Amino acid sequence: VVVLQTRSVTTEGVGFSDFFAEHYEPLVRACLLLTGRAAEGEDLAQEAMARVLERWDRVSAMDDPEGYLYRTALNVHRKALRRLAVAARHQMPRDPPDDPEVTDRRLDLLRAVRSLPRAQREALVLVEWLGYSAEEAGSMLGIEPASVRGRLHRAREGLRQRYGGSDE
Amino acid sequence: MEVRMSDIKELLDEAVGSYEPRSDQRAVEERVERRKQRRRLAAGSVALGVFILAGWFAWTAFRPGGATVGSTGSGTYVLSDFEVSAHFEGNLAPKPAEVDPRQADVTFVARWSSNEYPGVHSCTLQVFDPAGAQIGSVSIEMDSMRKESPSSMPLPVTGPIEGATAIGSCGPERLDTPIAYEISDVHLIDDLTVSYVAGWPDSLIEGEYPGTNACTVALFQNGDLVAQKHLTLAVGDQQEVTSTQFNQFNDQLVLVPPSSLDATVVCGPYVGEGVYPDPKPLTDATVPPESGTVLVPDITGLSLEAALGQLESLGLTIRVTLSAAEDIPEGLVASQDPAPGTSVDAGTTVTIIVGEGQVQAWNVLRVTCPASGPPEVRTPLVAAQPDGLHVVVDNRSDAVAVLIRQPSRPWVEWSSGSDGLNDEFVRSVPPGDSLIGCLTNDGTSYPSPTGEQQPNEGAFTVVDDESWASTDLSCGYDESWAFSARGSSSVPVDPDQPDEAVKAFVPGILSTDRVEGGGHPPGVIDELFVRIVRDGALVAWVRAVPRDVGDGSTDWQLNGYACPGSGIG
Repeated sequence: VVVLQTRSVTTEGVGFSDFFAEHYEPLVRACLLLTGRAAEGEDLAQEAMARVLERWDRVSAMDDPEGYLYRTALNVHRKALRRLAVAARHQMPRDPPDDPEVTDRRLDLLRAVRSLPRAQREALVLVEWLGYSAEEAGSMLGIEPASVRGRLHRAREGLRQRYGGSDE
Repeated sequence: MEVRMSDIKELLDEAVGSYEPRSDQRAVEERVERRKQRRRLAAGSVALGVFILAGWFAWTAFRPGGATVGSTGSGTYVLSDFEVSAHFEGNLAPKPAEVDPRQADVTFVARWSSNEYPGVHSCTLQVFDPAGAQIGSVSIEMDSMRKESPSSMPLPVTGPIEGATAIGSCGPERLDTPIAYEISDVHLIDDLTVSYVAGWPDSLIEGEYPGTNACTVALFQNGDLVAQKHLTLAVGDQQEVTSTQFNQFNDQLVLVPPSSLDATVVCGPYVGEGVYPDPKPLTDATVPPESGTVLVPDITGLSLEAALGQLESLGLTIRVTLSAAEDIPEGLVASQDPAPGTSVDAGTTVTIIVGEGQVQAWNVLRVTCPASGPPEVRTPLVAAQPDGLHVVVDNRSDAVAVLIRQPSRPWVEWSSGSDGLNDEFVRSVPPGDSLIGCLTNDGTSYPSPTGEQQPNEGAFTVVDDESWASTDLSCGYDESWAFSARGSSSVPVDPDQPDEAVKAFVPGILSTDRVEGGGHPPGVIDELFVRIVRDGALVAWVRAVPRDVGDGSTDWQLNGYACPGSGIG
C-alpha cells in the first residue's frame, strides 16, 4: 500500500547507496530510451531516484523496490515534471563519440524509438531493454499481459519500419 | 550503412548501451534537499538550508566558503552557496579509502540575475587554502537555459583542503576583454531562414572560448523590426555555419511586398531587447504575398508535417482530427475542409483528417503572453508529442504563469511559473474545448473559472487520448454541476484501491457508493482521479490533489463534476 502522505525525508539512506549504485546506470539508459534526449533522460532518472529516496524507508521494505523505481520513472515521464526539457531542445549533444557515423546512427536510433507512441515505447523499454516479462510489465503499467505483447509487437514493427526507412 | 534489424535488443543497446550517466547520487540528494527547502519556505519557516550531506562530511575537514563574486550585473550568472568538501570517488557513502586528498568537491548554486537569459555562462571556480593561497581552479560552461542550476564540481587541488574556501565568478571580465561570438556572411535562404557563420574571434587565445554566446537574430523590413529571435549558440568549432528560421505564421510576420528584408545577428553579454547595429540587406529575399485571400492547397496524401508546413506558410489555421479508420493510412492526410482550390481569408481554419497510429492525439501549443489581452495560442510545426499537452510559453514580458481550463469541466491546470522565454511544461489534459490564459505579475488576477471566455484567455481544443477514456456522466454534462471542495483525511490512500479512503474526504459521498479508478496511472502518489458510481450509474468524477499539512493528516483539494441531486461536492 502506497501511503499518500509526505513524511520527513530520511537521509541516512541505509542501503540506498547500494540501491543507487546497482540501478542508476540502467535506469538512466532506460530513461534515455523513453525520452530520446540525454538531458531529459538524466532529469527523469534523477527525479525517479529522488522520489525513491524521499520514500526510502517505505520503498526499501517493498518486495520489489526496483519495480517501484521504474513505475515511478514511467509515471514521472507521463506527467512530465521536467524542467530540463527546454535545455535539451536548445542544445547540441555534448558527447560526440569518436566516429561521427556512430553519432548519427545513435541519434537516428533514439529518434526512431522516440517516434513510437508512448505506450509502445514503455512496453519496449520494460520488456526488451530491462528484461521484464510481459506479466511483470503488465502489472507495472496497469494493463493486461496480452496488451503488453500487443504493444510490444507494434513497437517492434514500428521500429523496423521507421528505422528501416533510413537503412540504405 | 548496413543495419541488422533482427535483434531489437541489440538495436537498443547500440542506442543507449554505452551511455554513461552524467549525474550521480549527489545530484539526486540535492534534488531531494531542494524540495525540502522549498517546503520549509512554503511553511514559512526561515530555517537556513542545511546541506543534506553535512552529516556525512562532518568527520572530514569541512567548512563552507562564503564568498560570492558577482559578475557584470544584469544578464549573467550569479554564483552562491559554496561548499567545499573532500571528494569521494563515485560520491557514494564515504569510506576513508575513497577520499582523494587531491580532489575537492565544490558545490554551488548558479542563478540568473534577471529575467533576461544570461548572456554569459562561462564561469571560473577557485579554491583557496586558509592562508588565502589558491590551490585549484576550474573553468566551466553553465547550462544556459536553466534559471537555477545547482551543481557539484570535482576539482583538483594542489594542497590539503582542510579549511578551504571557494569562490566563483562568471562573465567576460574574467577574460581580458569581453568576447562574444562573431557573426559573418548573413544571408537569407529558402523563404525566411537566415543563415550565418558564427565563429570565435581570431583574437581569441588558443584554449579560450568566448565569454558569451547569447545572440539575437533580428529581421527588418523598410527599417522596421518585424521579428526577432533570441538564441544560445551551441557552436563547437571555431567557425560554423548555422541558421535561424522564421515562420510567417508562427512569428506573426506582417510583411509588405515587394520590398526586401534586412537582418542582423548580434551576440553579446546583454543581448535582449536592444539596439541592432547595421542591419545587413538580404538582397535575395522573397517576401511572401500579402496576406489576404489565399487559395487552399491540395494537401491530401501528404504527411501531417508537410501539410502543416504548407498551411502555416499560407497563414492558415489548422485543426487536426485523427481517424482510426482502417482505410486511412497512418500519419497521412486523408481529407481536408475546405476543399483544394477554395479561396479563403488568411487565418481561416482548415480541418484535416489524419490517419491515427504513429501520430499521437496530443497537442503542442506555443503561447505568447502579451502585456494585455488574450494570449496568442498557436500550434507550431512540431511533431505531436506523445506524453501530454506541451505548452511552450514564448514571452518576454511579465507573465508568471499559464493556466489551462475547460469551461465544460471544473478543471484548471497551470504552469508553476514562467521566466518568459521558451519555458515549456507538459500536462495531462482531458480532451475537449479548452481555454488558456496568462497570469501576469502586473496585478492582473486570473478570473474565477466560469464557462465564459475571459479577456486574458485564448481557445484551443485538446483531442482525445486513450488515457482519458470518456468521463461523461450518466446524467450528461452541465458546467453548473461543477464543484470544488476541500477535504481532510488522516486515512492513508492506496491509489490503486482508493475506495474506502476516498469516502473519508469526498463531501456528500454515500457509504454505498462505489469508487472506481485511482491514481492515474498505478503508483502515482500525488494525484487521484476517481469515478463515483451509484446504483451502476456514473454520478461524479473527482480529481483530488493532496497537500501534506504536517500533522499526519492530508488536505485534499477536490475538483469534480457531479450529477444534480447526487449530493456530492
